[in-house]
Amino acid sequence: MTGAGFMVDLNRCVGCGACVLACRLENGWGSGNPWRRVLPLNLRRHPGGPTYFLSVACHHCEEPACLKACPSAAYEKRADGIVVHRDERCLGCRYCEMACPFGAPRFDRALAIVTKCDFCRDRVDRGEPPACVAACPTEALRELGSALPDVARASVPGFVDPAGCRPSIRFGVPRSDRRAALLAAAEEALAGAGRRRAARGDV
Amino acid sequence: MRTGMHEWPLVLFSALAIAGAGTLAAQPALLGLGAADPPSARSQAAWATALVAVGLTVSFNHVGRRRRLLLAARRLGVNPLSTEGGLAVATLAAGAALAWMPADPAITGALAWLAGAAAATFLLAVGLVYRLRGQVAWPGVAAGGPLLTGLAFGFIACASTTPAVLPVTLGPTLALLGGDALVLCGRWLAIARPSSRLGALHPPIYRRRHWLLGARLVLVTLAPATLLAGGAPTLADLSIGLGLLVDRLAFYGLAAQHTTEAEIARIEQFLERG
Repeated sequence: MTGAGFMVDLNRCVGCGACVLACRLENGWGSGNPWRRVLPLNLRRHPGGPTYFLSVACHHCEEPACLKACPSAAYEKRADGIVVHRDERCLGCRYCEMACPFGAPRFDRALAIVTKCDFCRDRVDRGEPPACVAACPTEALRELGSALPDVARASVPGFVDPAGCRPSIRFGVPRSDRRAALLAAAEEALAGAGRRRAARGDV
Repeated sequence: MRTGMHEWPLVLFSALAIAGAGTLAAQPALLGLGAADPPSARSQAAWATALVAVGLTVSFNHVGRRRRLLLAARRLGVNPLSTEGGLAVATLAAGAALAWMPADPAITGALAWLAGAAAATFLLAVGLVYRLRGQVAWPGVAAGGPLLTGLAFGFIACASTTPAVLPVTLGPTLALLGGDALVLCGRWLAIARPSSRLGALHPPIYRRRHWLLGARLVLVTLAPATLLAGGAPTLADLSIGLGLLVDRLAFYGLAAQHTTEAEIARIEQFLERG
């Protein structure tokens, strides 16, 4: 495995959302078209089953459906694997939105073009990690660079590749003995967020 | 519709384009069958070209940055959407030439073949644009749908303007309607339970999919076939025209895209059931 991509360790992710916040601060996207999302699976609804969080953004696929679909060649795959969207070439036709099975490209109504995660390419060019990776407090989110071992393409419930895009994302699959600790951590994080919202008067 | 106004221009564009290009694509066959003469072919081509032009204008207007549209020309023949756009412009040009060139029978015949070929290729391209593997409600069998529906519309439009040709066109029209119904059945079966294969976001209208597809079957196939057989081509034309709108509404309205969120929701449903 070479090239840009993310490694999400489901044993470590507590669903705090720091990656989403850091991404938004770094890239300035609006709430309607998030570049990164944290998707909880089985959060406190089915206590018998495992609970974990999928932090997902653009997967900088090896065979990007967006790149193939774009009529104006607004997408490029850099030598380091980052799939870059060139805003100045985008028609705003939204065909890439229809083609991507991961919901990565999103139409920005204010700009009248599609935008998506660019793996913080400016930071990467400066030798820094993407903002989401830098912000992760548990190191659950990491860069999947050539330095990392080629982790097997783990089968994670909730994540499939129906279009054969070969997404550059790998998962550390949750271990059963950590489920209880994870759940407690997630609930604590959520309760903390709830307390903070209550303190601000949001709820 | 899932994403607000995004699909409405596509509904209008594709309905008008299928009607217009279908009429143009039918002209060589109608001339060959003797169901149309050069003046009527030119008259129909004028209407058809106007429909394609309006559809194309609506389609261009839904694009976020219209001034960049020429960038799409660089991927003609490589990208399905670029190819569709290029073929739409070619159909428009060929249709306009057929409608407004001098009324010489030889020229009209040649231009009818040219416009017909351009229109038929364009209609195939319209179907191929939506062969996207992440979209679970647009299976491959739907690719030939626009061409069959368009040709059927063209034949019925001809019979509507010149009822005397109905005995000649009835057989081919019924065959086209039958083929179109088969394609619809393939689509219907494929989208009946797409969630059994993949997690997909279903729009609210998905709950009424059988009603919508049933209305489409009645308006595009059953009613026109019955009305044509009963000698009422004008009513058949109205029915298939309305049916085209319903068809495109169903096509875009029932689109179901696979996403990670939908896949997770599917698993949660499984967990819920125990």
